[in-house]
Amino acid sequence: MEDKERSERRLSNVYKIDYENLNVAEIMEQVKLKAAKRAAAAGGGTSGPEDTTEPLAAAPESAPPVGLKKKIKSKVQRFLTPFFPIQRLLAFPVHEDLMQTVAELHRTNVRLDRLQAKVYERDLSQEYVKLLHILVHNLVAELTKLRIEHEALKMKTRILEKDFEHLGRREKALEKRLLA
Amino acid sequence: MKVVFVVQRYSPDLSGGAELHCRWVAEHMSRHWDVEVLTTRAADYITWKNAYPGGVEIVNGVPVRRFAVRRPRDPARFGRIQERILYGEHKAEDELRWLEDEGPLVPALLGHIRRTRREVDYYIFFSYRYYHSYWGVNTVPDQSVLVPTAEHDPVIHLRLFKDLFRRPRAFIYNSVEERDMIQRLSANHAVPGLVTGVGTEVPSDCRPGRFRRKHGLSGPYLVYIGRVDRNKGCHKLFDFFLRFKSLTASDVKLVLIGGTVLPIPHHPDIHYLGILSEQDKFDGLAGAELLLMPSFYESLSMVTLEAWALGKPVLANAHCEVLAGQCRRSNGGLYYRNYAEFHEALDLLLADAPLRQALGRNGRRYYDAHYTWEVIEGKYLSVISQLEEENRCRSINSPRP
Repeated sequence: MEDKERSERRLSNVYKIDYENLNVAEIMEQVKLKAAKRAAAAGGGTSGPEDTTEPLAAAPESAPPVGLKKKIKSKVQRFLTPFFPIQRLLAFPVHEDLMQTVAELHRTNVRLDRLQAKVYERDLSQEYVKLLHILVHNLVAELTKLRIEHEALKMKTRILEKDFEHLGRREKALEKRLLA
Repeated sequence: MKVVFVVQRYSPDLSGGAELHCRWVAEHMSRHWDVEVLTTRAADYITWKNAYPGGVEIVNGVPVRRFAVRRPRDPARFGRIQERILYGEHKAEDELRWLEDEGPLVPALLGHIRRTRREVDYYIFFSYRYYHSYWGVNTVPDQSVLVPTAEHDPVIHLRLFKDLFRRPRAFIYNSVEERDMIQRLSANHAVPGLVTGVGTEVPSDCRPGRFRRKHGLSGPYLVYIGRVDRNKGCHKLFDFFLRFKSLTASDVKLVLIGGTVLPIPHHPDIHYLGILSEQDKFDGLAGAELLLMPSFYESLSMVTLEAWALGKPVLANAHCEVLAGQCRRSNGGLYYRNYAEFHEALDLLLADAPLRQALGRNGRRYYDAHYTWEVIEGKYLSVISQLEEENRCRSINSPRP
């Protein structure tokens, strides 16, 4: 119940919604803005539209040993090198390894998500290429038809020109005869 | 007035699609007109194999005349032809051959139309892309009304459809987006058309509790109703839902209702219930937080209207212009283009109960204003009366012999 109230309070801070006169377009603008911000925060603003995978909740990392403690630890480790795996298993906290593995798996997961998003983008561009191919094909067909039509019209014009010349010559010849 | 509906398949067993759309309209309009249905004997839309007996059968009070499909479709051969038609150079004859291969090849139905056209006032053809509609409209253009049920499908760009969209006397569109797309492609602005859609039948008594008990469900759930299919965007829905679950502490579940042709991921919060009865389906919808519509291509989406009829909000795929447009016009649902938007929108909807209620209320209002059967019947009647008016004007203006 408390969780629900908390999340409603969080939403009321983020979204401005007039419940009486709901406007989906306005809500969607806010949703898009928030999604874009989240994506930018997750991917450093370089990701594509689909590559908006949020990283998983940050995996806890163990604090690295520092200072004197680190030195002593490394010396003891070197001294006990042959027995170190057993020592480590028995004496040192094993959860560090587990945490590292979890962190590695987490990073792999995030990488996989990004790769998947890229595959989707590639599929999308393939679709665009197909559409462009159809467009080009149609343009070529239309241009070919126009060219054929153009040639036919040119031919007709030439014929008309010749007819016109012929009629002109005939007119002159007839004029000559009449005047003679 | 005698009006004949022509559709690729017709049976009470068929749920969804243009077939159900046609059946509901035919049954409702039989109150106003003398209605008959012409269809094929096919039950399967992939092969169109003859399954139902031929001849006349009365289905819910409407006479249905079935014609045999001459040659079933060979999906592999058809796939090859379609690939060549869509992505290669081809002639007009190739497109006609593609149409024959797509089927359902029913020359007997066309012969019947030719023989009986004088006894019929109007033919209403459903689904522009099939053989019966193309040749039917071309056989009786002056008596035909086309209900295209068109989506953003690559085949709509074929040249033969450009001509087809200029042939009928009138159009009955499913959505504003469908009308705009067809007018953009064929410049058929001169052909009158009315955005109508289809009504739906919602049981008066929906009991979410009964559904939860029957299927062992507890807690909030989202529902998807329809064929679980890649073409319906279900693969993306699974991906997005599982990512949402892994990134949030939400206990929401996903309930899937309908047949499946896609493997469903094994996850404790994904519940596949298969094909359910209408009552069960509506009980499930009434108990859901919201309806998910991941489809990329829809000409209307009857299930979205059903959700709104029950006052439920919708979260739809914005890549489908029709769904996004319907959500904006109704203010009854949100939409997403990618995972980030899906995450934000779903997070908002699940956390904000007043928003869900307000969206549901708006959806219900939109449904009441545009999709109740009184409204739909009125629109069909007005289209036909407009054509009658035109006929009268033509007969007055035409010179007497």
